[in-house]
Amino acid sequence: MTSLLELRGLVRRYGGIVATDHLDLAVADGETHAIIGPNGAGKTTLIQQISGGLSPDEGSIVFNGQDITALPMNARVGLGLARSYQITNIFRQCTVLDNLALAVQARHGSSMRFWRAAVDESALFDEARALAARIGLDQRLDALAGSLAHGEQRLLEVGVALATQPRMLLLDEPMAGMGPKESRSLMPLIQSLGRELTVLLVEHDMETVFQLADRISVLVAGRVIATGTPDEIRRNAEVRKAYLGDEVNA
Amino acid sequence: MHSTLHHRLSGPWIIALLVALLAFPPVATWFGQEFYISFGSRLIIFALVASSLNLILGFGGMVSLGHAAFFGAGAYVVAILMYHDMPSAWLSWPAAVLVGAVLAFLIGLVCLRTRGVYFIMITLAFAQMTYYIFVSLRSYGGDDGLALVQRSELGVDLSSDTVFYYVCLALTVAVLLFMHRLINARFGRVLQGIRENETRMQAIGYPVFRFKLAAFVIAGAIAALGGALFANQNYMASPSQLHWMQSGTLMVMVLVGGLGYFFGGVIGAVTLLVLEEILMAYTTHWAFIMGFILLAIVLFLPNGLASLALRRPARAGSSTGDKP
Repeated sequence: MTSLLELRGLVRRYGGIVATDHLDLAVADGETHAIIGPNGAGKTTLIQQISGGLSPDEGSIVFNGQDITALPMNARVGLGLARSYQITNIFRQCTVLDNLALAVQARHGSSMRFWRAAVDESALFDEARALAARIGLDQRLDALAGSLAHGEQRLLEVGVALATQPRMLLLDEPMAGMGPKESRSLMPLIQSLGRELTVLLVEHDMETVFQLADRISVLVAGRVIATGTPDEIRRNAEVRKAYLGDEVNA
Repeated sequence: MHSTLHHRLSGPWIIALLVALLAFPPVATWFGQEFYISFGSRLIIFALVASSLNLILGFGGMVSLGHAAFFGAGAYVVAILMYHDMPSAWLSWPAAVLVGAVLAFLIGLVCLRTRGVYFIMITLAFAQMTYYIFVSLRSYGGDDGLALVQRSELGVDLSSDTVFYYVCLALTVAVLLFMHRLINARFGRVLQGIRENETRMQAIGYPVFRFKLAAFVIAGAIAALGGALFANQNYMASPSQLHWMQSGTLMVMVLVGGLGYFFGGVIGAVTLLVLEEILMAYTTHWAFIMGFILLAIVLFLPNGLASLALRRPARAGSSTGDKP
């Protein structure tokens, strides 16, 4: 397997705190790779650096053979690297359909168009409708995103990222704040995404991670202390000591 | 399809309004109130300029407190060209638009890298700089402003207030039509998306800065056109047009009219100027009463007057927006 994303010696400091500490990570093309770690391990900081919201102090990020360390976020999306957010970050005052259509529009030719009404561009909205069906929100097209239930908002959050047709999707705690019942609606979606594209998943919920991931990396204090299949991670003594504790003994 | 990003024009209303606007000069003449034709031109010009501010403020979420810079610059371009014996409107009006666009590009290039309060302050600072530049231009009148010996030469007789009124009306209608297309086109959706959630727009692949800058330039160019008209209206370009108070007045117009409503700028400009005209006739302390009226509007209609009549870009959580 060749790697689609490679992080080399990544460092990010906040004052005296080293949030990302000479981190190396390779995500293989096509795999679903999960990152787990205790609170404050630097998971979100890492996702921010990969997506382009934060720049690392040292090290480099290589995506699909290209060094993207200096590229702004929107350019990375253009290369096929999209993210979702831990704290829902959608267009709350817009309808579900508009949320998705805006994201579709971003890669459908130039948006410096000043004359033709965008609502007449059926290509944008057909694709947005198809996406809505895929994330299970096709009954809620005209609802304002901000008025959706939390679980639906989380689905839309992933849907908006998906609308950019990424080659690799960074999912930052997609299950955040979801009850067990709601999570069950997102699980199959992430599972099916994992079959089509490369997914880097940051997740708190252990059950989800062990079920979805091909490989897992354990992040502690800004470094990867272990990478392996779910079984390997379960058995890894260092990981158990540092993080898992008794949680997976059963 | 229901979309909060698409803004429809209500046909019958617009036609009625247009007819009224077209009929205004002959009706005013009939009643011997020619003075009001000139007042009408002023309303139209400010409707245009306030609408240009609404484009960036209401649709783009850019709280610019420096819009007067473009308005004033447009006026000065016309006055200065005329001072140098270039009275042609075909030259000076496009020149004003161009100067407005270039000025907005340069100011935007710096300001649009900041957010929030910093953006407000830095646009204000740039506008004040422009103000002091023109005040210090002694050869162009300094703080007295620069008078126009005549109105621009367009091929029709602009010295007639009625003709000038119709020219202002035609230009404003044309520009508003363009703005309406713009807002509903891809560009306008991106602009409104940026207003709603700039970070996410970046995260779905839009070069946000470029779109904001383009909108800023378009708004600056339109404001400069308004300035060119206003110089003709008053037979002068005055530094007070560039002063931050002017930016503030324009912002109040947009807020009173309705941020992000297509006719927000028009409604606000007309409301403010008509109120001013009426109150001034009754008392010298008109500003005091005006203050109370504006306060009441902001308190009871926080989304502006347009929210009374026009379809509201529905807010999340409100019952109106949630219909299937």
